[in-house]
Amino acid sequence: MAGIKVKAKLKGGVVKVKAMAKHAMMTYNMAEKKTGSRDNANFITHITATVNGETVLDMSTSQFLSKNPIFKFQFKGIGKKGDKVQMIATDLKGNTLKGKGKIK
Amino acid sequence: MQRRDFFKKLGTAAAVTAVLPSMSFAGSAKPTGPNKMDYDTAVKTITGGKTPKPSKKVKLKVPEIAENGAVVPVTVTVDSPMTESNYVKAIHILTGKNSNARCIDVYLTPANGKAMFATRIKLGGTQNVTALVELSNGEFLTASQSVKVTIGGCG
Repeated sequence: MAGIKVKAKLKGGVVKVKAMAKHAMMTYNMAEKKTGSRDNANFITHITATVNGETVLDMSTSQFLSKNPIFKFQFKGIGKKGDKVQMIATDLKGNTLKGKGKIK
Repeated sequence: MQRRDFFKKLGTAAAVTAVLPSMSFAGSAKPTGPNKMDYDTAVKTITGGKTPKPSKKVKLKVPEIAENGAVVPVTVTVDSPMTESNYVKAIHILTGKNSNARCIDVYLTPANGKAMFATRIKLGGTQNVTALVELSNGEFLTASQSVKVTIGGCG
């Protein structure tokens, strides 16, 4: 199953994270056009990013993110080099996507 | 995956949706059709009736002309000290004409250091993209820009 690619870099005390979730992000309209049924729509609805169990980002998303959406964000004061940024996404069908990346 | 691990994660996911029931539309019941939330309703739901102020503190970076509506990069940066007493609570990205105006809601904490978020969105046609920012003192700031789309990305 598809996952999330996470890249994190520590510079000047700030950790910058780039992440890409591999997901089709099918909207209702697209699903109807391509498969004839609105029920085939599937998109990520919720994503959280954690470092050492602390949440650094929490977001609700909708169908209007692009296919394979990219997220860029940053945080400071949590985590050091070698720690892992963990991201978990839940989609409409209940699947979870997971990914983690070491802070470099 | 370990069974124990699985339940742990399930627990955290449930807790997150339980904490944000009023804010998170993702955690609510599964919508059956397109979630028809127009721009004004979306703003009202987020702000709870308050009028957001246009502000230069919010920097919204989107291309003026997007060749392909399916992939439009958006960057929102907010000028804020991000301390315990004064920080950006949430960034909402709204679109004017998509069938659901609420594109993404991002919840931040003082630990973020800088209020910055970037992603890529879909646009169904030429419309305004708005960033609605919620501050910790309850104020709402906005910035918006119109984007010309040559090929729509929602259909």
